Amino acid sequence: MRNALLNIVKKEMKEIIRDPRLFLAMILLPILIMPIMGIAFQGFMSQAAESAKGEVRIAVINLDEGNISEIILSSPDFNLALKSLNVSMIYLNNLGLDSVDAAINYITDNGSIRALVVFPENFTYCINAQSPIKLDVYYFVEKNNPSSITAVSSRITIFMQLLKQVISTYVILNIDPNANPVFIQNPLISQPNTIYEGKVIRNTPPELIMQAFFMQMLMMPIAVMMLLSIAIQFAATSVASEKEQKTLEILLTMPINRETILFGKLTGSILVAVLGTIGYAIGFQFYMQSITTPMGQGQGVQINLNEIGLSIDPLGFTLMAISLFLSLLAILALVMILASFAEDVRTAQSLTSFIFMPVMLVGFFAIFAIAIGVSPTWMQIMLFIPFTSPMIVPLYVISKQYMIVIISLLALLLETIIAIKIAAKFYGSEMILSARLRFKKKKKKETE
Amino acid sequence: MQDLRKYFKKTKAVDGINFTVREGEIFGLIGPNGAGKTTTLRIIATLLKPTSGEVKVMGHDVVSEPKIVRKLISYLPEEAGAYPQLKGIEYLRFMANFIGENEDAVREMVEFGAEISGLGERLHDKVKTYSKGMKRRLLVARTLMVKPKVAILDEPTSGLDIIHSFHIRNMLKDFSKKFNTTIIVSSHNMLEIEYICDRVAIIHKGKIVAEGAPRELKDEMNASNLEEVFMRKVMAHA
Repeated sequence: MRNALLNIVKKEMKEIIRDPRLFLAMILLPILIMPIMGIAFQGFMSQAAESAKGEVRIAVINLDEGNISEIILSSPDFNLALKSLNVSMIYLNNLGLDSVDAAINYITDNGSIRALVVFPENFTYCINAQSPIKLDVYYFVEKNNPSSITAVSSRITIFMQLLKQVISTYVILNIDPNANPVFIQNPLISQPNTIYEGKVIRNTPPELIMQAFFMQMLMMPIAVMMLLSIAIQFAATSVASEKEQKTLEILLTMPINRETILFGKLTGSILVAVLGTIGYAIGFQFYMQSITTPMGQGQGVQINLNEIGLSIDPLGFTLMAISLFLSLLAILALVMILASFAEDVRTAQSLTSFIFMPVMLVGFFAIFAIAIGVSPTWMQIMLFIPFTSPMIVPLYVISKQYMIVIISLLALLLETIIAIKIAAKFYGSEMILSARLRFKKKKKKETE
Repeated sequence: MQDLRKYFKKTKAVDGINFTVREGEIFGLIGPNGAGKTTTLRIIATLLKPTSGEVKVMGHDVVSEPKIVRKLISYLPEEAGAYPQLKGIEYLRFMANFIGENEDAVREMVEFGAEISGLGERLHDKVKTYSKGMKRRLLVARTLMVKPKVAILDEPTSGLDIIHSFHIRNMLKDFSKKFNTTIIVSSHNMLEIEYICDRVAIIHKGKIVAEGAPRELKDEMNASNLEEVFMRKVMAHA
């Protein structure tokens, strides 16, 4: 019994270990992907660490009709504490600015300032009345790098805590030693607002914008990867099953062009992929509509993607669909060639791993590139690669950079035509019949 | 066919073959495994291109006029399959659609294919439910239903039981006689070849070592059957 079990286990292990799919999927792929993910994550972490320890410039505009805000802001203890936290405070009143709008315009033009704190007209009045002061805070979210807001957000929190301490100390020492303990504990109410792409999104903390950005940017590549992987498997199986079922030879002797056979198979795969694309587009529409509601629920605010510039217009959707369609066409044409080398479905699936593996790597790279916010050059390169194009196009579509998308789609069209031409040439030759590759254990002569 | 050669890298699959098949006759290609029978038939069927030499079907070159040749021939490869999810009748229709110029022609082909297949009601079942013999009968019917000028069948009865083999042999013989169709057939079964073929060619190591009517070959070699002729010829060239 034990021997029989061992015998079966040994056979199973041999079959599994000798299967190239296992080698590709479970050994080679992780060996390649993990270090790439590690490098990307390291880059992301060092960028975040750099932002966390770097100087943060916070602007202040003082609209206070009294003088207590001046006293507090010029307090040596307060300024010393800010300095130790590597926070540099820019006092906009010294630059002649006297309104919130003017301050926002100034900061938008001057990209180095990450937040604005507004001291209201009734600041002195509220302190004297021991009534909580409402302070508007404006966060300036960097385009394509919303993760940088994390560092700013944490400094603002500390800024507010310091301010609370200075106000409480001031009230106890200079106004009322027996001040209302509730006020002393919490003299400030901070009201977050976000400025993204020059638009003011009121009552919305920047973290919500960051979530919206990441959800939209990262879900796309994942969905595209899933769609392409299904289409690749489908196309490969379609070609290989003709060989496995021994139906291809008869088909090739029919009085029809070989290209007709290729296009027939390609169209079949594409129709399925188009159905997938339509489903994907509809799903994405629902997704876009749905993320706005739950995201705001916790904070009692509602994000309007149009308002924050994260929406996609009909032209954008069209460009995204074209990108996806051309990518599918180009990749499936190459899969059709590769799968022709397989004599059976199992081999075809193994062979397509050779396409799927680099596709996965590039896909992961694209996802990390979006997350990290790599240089525009890398993004533009990925825009011209069939597989990464549908992942990167939304990024440009959202920021309404249509011209580069259209140029990249023209290049993609050319790449697709070349891929189809190569496939048509292959199908027109006898290689379609004679090309063969079979992943099978070589039998030793003595065992025959 | 003149001085036909087909090399796969260093392997000489076919090495200078010459033969002519007369209109309306059944011509048999016999030879051991790897002799070059299938390669020869595939070249006639325009699936492979010759390394050198010339092959013409009804005066049309298989290399320069493959589309015309494909209209004249109907080819059945060895171990060919049919789409398992299609019903037998759907498979015949699918294939007839490539040949028939209109719906009437297609319907006529399918009806004829159904008749000669002898599969009756089973044609309305999916191919995946067919036995090997039934599948082969369907495929032979598919080959002949288009009434080609030249039918090329590679091992049409290979691996079949006596009943299915008998049916296919008679189908070929009757068909050739009735429609004056030229049939080129390869087989390992010498008795079968002797029974159905008007003339045969014995291929060995890519070369034809004997050609003629079965009776002529038997007389020439003083053999009692084609199997003896085959063995003597092959052994002589071993």
